[in-house]
Amino acid sequence: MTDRPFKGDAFWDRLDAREVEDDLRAAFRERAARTSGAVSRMGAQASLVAVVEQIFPRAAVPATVIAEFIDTNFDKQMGRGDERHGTLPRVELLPAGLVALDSEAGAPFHSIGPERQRSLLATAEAGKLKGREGFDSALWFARLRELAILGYASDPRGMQEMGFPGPSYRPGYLWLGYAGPDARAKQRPGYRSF
Amino acid sequence: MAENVAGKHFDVCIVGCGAAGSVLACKLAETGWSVAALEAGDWLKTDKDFRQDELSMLGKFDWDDRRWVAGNEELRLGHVRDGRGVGGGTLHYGAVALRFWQEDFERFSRDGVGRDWPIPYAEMVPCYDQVEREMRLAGPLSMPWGPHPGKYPQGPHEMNYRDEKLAGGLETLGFRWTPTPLAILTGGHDGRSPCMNYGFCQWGCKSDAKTSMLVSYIPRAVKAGATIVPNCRALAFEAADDGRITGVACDIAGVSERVTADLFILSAFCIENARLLLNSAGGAFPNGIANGSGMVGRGIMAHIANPYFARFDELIEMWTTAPGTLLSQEHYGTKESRDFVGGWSWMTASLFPAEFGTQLARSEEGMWGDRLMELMRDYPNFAVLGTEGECLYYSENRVELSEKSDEFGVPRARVTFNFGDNERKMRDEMGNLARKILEAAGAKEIFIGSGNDHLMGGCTMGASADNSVVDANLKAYGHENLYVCDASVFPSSGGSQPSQTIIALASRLAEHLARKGPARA
Repeated sequence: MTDRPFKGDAFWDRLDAREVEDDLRAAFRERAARTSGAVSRMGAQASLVAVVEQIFPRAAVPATVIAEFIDTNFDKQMGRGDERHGTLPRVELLPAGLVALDSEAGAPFHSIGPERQRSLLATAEAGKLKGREGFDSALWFARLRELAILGYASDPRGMQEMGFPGPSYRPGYLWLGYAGPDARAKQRPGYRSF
Repeated sequence: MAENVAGKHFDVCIVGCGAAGSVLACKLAETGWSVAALEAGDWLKTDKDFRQDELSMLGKFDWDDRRWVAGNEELRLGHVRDGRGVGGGTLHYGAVALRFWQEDFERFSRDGVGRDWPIPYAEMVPCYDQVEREMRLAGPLSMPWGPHPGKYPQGPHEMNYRDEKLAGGLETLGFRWTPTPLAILTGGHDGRSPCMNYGFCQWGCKSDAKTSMLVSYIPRAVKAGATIVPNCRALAFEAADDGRITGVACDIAGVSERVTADLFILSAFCIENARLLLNSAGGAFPNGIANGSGMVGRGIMAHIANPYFARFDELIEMWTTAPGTLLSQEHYGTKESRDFVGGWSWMTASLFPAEFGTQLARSEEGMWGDRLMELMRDYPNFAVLGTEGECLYYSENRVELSEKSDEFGVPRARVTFNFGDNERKMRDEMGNLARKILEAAGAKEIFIGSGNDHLMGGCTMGASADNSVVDANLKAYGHENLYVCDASVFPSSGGSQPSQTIIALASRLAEHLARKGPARA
């Protein structure tokens, strides 16, 4: 894998140096400072963490933190409004999947061992995990994974693991390492700095 | 903001401040009309409210209210689908600024499927010319295909390594490409910044270089005296028995209000237009406003928008420019050699980390666990090639009202949407060609995603009141003082982004109305 230039201190130094808004910098710091999380609304914390560990094994963002992110946001719209007609709405769908996993496993999902966990999740992904009326396990898997990815990729630890440098201020990504912005500021009177 | 409209009567009330509504508000106000423009979302400030961060921006200008969807194609609604906020969908658009082609207007005449536009293409040309000049589009000196004459007002955007790699793949197969015409400044204009290559165009452009309505036509509209009303949810039209619209009931930041005007223009996009018209049923119009034909909500279309992921052995960093800086229309339009009608445009895409992961994960089964982690860690080595493929008009693809209501007491929308054989065949052909292009570009691994984009239709324009909602002048059949203007009136979808055609249609309608003059005159 190619070595990435924006990791660790370099990532944060750049964020500090590049005129990122104070609230965004603070949000990034806060996201990256979380080392553990709690699931209080969806129930089945251990099972949700175990699902996340299977989706993002050995990730830079702790599974408990991603699980908490899912728990906090599973009933929010998060920029997306479509709900599949005839299936459980998202707010009911996501907790219902955890119940379905435990039920199919015949024991709490987190207690059944990684291989069976993976097998059950593959069953869910294929749409074959049974649940309460209106439960579509493929939809459940897709929506849960989507939230997990959002929780992972919006955490600066996830960004760094992916090799993403974060916001591009002030000169724009393309000009990193170039004198372009200053030259452009002189040539183009409309140039706007922050 | 309710006090801005309370007790006042306007020449025109426009519902929706997106690509069409903003242009209409601007041009009619500049002609001397009194204008009220209602917008369901906030009036954001680019420097204060926009952040270069996916999580911070999710839902900020997305119409992410709950809607029910059914059908064989997963219709994702909300982010980068329907905008909410002053500027509408132009807040999130990638600003790819292409004209439809003449054949898009003549799909039925030429191919015997879909519908024709009731407007001769030649009539649209001066409208395209005008808005391209006004918006100072940035593009190449000449286009290898299509109807665009000569050069664009500003020079093309810089290309990044993603573009170079994909251009190489296209060239190897003999396919031409060009820098994409974009509604993003590359030079100064009107005190606005040229593009800084932040890359976050679809999450809110902070530099004002992207010509969203928020930074272009809306400031002009305000200067000309238009009243812009943010956080104003239009709930239902009121109509007299003779069809005249007498007012629109609204909720303005929690206050019930009624806005009256001599003329109304509905520009709230495909789903909300249909929902509002259907929710206005009553009295002499038991099936809803403008729905004498039963066509309101029918003919919803969405482009076949497939992301093709190419994993390279070297650093690509696809996110360093606007998303769609490279274009090929080599496969646009109907070709004799293919067993489907219509065609598509290729263009590059940028996906930021969360969206990248989400879309990549949907490309094949088993995309989680070690496999997903491996690919996420290789994110900077990916490039994405996208498509905008034509979707035919099917009247069964439609918006209806569901049994469940929202917090305003308006029934939520239910959208039924299926791709037909034509779209499936086109998608297969796109996938085959994409694989060849990406292999030729040197990709070591390729992932074929699938998706859709750009809603159109639902208030189709046509020459007959029997099967259309509006006429060629965009006037609603059965209602002398109601017009509909945005992508909902499209009878066909073309194979490229709709924004320029929406804006050109709005400009054409503004001229038409200005010629007539306000009713008070």
